[in-house]
Amino acid sequence: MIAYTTFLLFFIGIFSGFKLGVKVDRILSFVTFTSLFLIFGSFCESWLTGDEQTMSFMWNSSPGGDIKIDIISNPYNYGVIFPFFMITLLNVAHNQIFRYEERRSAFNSLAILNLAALMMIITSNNFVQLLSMVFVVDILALFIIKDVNSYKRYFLLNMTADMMLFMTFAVINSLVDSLDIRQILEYKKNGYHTDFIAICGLTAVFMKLGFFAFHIGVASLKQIRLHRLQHILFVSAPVTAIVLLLKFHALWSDSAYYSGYIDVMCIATMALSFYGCVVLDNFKSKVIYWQLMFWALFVELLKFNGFVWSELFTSLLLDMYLLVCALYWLYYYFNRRLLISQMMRLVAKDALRQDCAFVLTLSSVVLMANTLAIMYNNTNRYYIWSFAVLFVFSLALMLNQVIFAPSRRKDLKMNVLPLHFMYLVELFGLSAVLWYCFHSNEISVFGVSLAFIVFCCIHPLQKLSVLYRNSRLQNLDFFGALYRTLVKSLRLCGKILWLLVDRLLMEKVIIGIIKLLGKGNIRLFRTLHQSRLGGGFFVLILLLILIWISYQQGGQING
Amino acid sequence: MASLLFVFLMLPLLGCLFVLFSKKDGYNAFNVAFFTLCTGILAILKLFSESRIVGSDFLYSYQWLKHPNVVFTFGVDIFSLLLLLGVYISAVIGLVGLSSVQRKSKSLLLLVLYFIWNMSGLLVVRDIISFYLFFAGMQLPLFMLIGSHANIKKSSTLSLFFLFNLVGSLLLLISILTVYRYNHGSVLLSHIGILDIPTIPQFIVLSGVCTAFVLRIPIWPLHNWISFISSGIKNPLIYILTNLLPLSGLYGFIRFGQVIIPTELNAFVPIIEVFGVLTMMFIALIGLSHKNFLQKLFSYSTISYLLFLLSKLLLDDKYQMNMAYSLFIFLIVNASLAVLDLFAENAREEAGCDYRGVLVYIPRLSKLFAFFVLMAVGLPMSSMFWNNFVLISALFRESFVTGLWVMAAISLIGLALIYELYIMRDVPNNTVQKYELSDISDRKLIFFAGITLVLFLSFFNPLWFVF
Repeated sequence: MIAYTTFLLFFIGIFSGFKLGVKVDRILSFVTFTSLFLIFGSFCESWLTGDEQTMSFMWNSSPGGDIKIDIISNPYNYGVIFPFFMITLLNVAHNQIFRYEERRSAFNSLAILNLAALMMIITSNNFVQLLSMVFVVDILALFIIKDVNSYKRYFLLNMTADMMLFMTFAVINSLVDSLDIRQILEYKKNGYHTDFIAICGLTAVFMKLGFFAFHIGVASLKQIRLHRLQHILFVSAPVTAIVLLLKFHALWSDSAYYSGYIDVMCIATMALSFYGCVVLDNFKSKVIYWQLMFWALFVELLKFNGFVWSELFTSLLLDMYLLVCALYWLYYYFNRRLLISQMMRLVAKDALRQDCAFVLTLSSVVLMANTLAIMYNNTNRYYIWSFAVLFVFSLALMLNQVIFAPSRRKDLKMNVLPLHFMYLVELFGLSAVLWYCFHSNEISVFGVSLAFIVFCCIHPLQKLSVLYRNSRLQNLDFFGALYRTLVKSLRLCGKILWLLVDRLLMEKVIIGIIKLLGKGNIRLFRTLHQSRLGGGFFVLILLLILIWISYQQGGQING
Repeated sequence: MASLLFVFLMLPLLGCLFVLFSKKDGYNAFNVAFFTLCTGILAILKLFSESRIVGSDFLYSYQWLKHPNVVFTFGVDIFSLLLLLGVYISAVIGLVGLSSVQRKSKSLLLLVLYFIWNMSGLLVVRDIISFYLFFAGMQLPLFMLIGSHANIKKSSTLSLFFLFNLVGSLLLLISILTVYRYNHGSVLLSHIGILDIPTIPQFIVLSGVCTAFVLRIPIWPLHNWISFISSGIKNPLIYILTNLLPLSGLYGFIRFGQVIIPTELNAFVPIIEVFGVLTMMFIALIGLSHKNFLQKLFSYSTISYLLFLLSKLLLDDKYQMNMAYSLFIFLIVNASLAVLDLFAENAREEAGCDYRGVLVYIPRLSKLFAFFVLMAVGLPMSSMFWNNFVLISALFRESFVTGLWVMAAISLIGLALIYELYIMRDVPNNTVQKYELSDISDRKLIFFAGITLVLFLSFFNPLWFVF
């Protein structure tokens, strides 16, 4: 039952977050990992037994609307949760095996709580539950990123996306008068502002995915540790965006702009990411852009599948995770050198470890190509292949430059990885490749794999590495400057308003006039109190007016 | 329950008396004030459970004069109790924020208790004459507090504050006298809409009431007095009390409007709606342009008050409890942020540290500060999150355009607060010097941790403290 799993995860997540000594921390981290592994086993078992239960209870009730917590267990939800559970488990396992963190259990805690929140998003049927958990995922992302400079843009963009989601749901709720997500079909029947709802909701989704024009948030994460980055890219805001698409596509698709907007954003993101993968020297930036490319491909595939989750998407996600793991090991192997231009100058002392990362990458590419081939048969869309080719092409360029670059220095030492672990990985990768080569009937899978190997050895764009030396290109931040200008103009607008309205109009003009009137009155009464003929005459006239008014009013009342 | 309500109402006055006779230059007065407010909180909690037994329509009357016929009527419901609790907790937070020198000031504490007495009275009275007395009464202690303890340099600011509030009180007085002329006695607030008054006097009554309340809520172009005051105050308690003043206007609208809005007040609603929305955007943009957290906080509080005002004016009474839950959290968050910001500011000034990155050197305060900012922005950490969601949804139902502007203003000010938080936590890369700033003490940490717990538990049940 998913509800049971979620509560267990919350419990373990909180338990794992306790700050303890270094030795106890290691034990706690191991206990956390083992517990998570066991829970994963139980989760899979429930899935296989076809568990279908709903846990629903009243959270809060007010005349304005009831808020229920729904955790629905059904095979579909199990299927959607599975890859993210698997990725979280692998991340925690990584954290257990390698020494990435000073306090391993703190990271485990964040990862597990994040997973529990994701499960509540996936199973929710209530706007408030959904929104709350989306916010929780964003807050946990802050703790995972940890670095103040890195999370500034990421968090601001995600917060903007959350506000937009808040607004979209508020508009939907305003018409259906129910916090139940299943009622969105009612909105479809009587809906108004459908274009607004679709554009606003989709923009929030694209912001969370880090698509074109909103990529500066994820792009600024290049300073953080790679395993934390990996976690953010795979099981944080992008997942909430995907779940939102799965839940609300039926409503948003009523808009005429829906399909076009998704296509334009995906194509633009692909192009931008390809540019990032080719031009940028920073390894982490390349990984980020490459991941964005994957999400663009993923969204397009989801769209062609009618936004219905299937095991193929699970497979795609896990393949991608494996690929990024391979890249991560490569990075680790090159002694955490950040720049590709630096990696190019190194030569492998132990070619086996380098090969092993390559084989792992190759096997992931083969797996991915196979999944895409099945999807292509279902959708028959050519540009899925063009997206996929671009994706593999940019990956091949990175490997070509890192692994197959001519060595120039031989005296630099390599970082040492746990050897036995890498042998295992290599064995797994090779067996996977072989298995697919023999069992897949798709010629395209062979084609893509072959092309990948060829491009890794001889890449037509390998000479573009000269661009790495162009510092202006490397530091180019067009969209960052654009946002800064936007914020500056808003601030300027505020300042001008403040000066014009508060200072000039209110303080100087209106209050100034009131002050002048006060002064004038004081002067008038001072004049009246002086023994002058004019003053006496004026008071006499005032008295006469008063008598006349009193006479008139009195007459009216009596009459 | 009547006796409990009476005791509760008299508590701040009793506190005033004790403060008056306490020793000079010691902490006696502070202890008395603190104890009085804490006892008040306990009394409110008791009133909560009593009101559950008695019901929400509990009223208690006391005949003061026969000629003229003046009857004071008191009563509480969950709505007013939540606001009372919010006011008392805010005041306690303000007391905790006082420096050791400020804690020794008897006049400050006396005036604070007197203000709280007026505020409590305003929130429990149910007749028009007592309402006026408390409404007008709270202006004097606040004026004296600002004048003598807030270090306001410009005298014009103070006269502006007095002028605006005096005009408001006079207008309300005129309205009440008009009502009295036709009714010959005290009128319950809820009966104003059903009084048989000719058209012109009715118009005078409603205009007077509306203008009096609007003058308390910072709606453009009548917002200057409070913005000038709030930007200059260095005393956290006075800042909190000044920002409680709009609550009296809002509460007036809520109580007076319960009956009259559907009919006579309808003509005023679109005007207030337009000005309210304009002010929200205006204040949000100004908040964005300011480079000071306290000014951003003032913008945030103004926008929140206006959101509640619009909710009151445009929505049904069924959303009243959502408003009350939200207001309760808002009052506490606003007070906590003001105090924490002034703590940070004082620590920064002592060490001569830059504003940018100041929170890095005070980690305890930084965590609390971040928590409260995120809560203020509307993240799901308290019941304010889902209650605001319900209110904004209902606003969208009433007017899509109004809803859009409200959301734009809330988003802008939310992002401005988060950006300021980032600025306060960001140390520039080239900074070499490390400062040693005094972080908040263990006692204060425990106190604020308790406050965060109160707020966080409200996320699961807004009335979790009622047994």
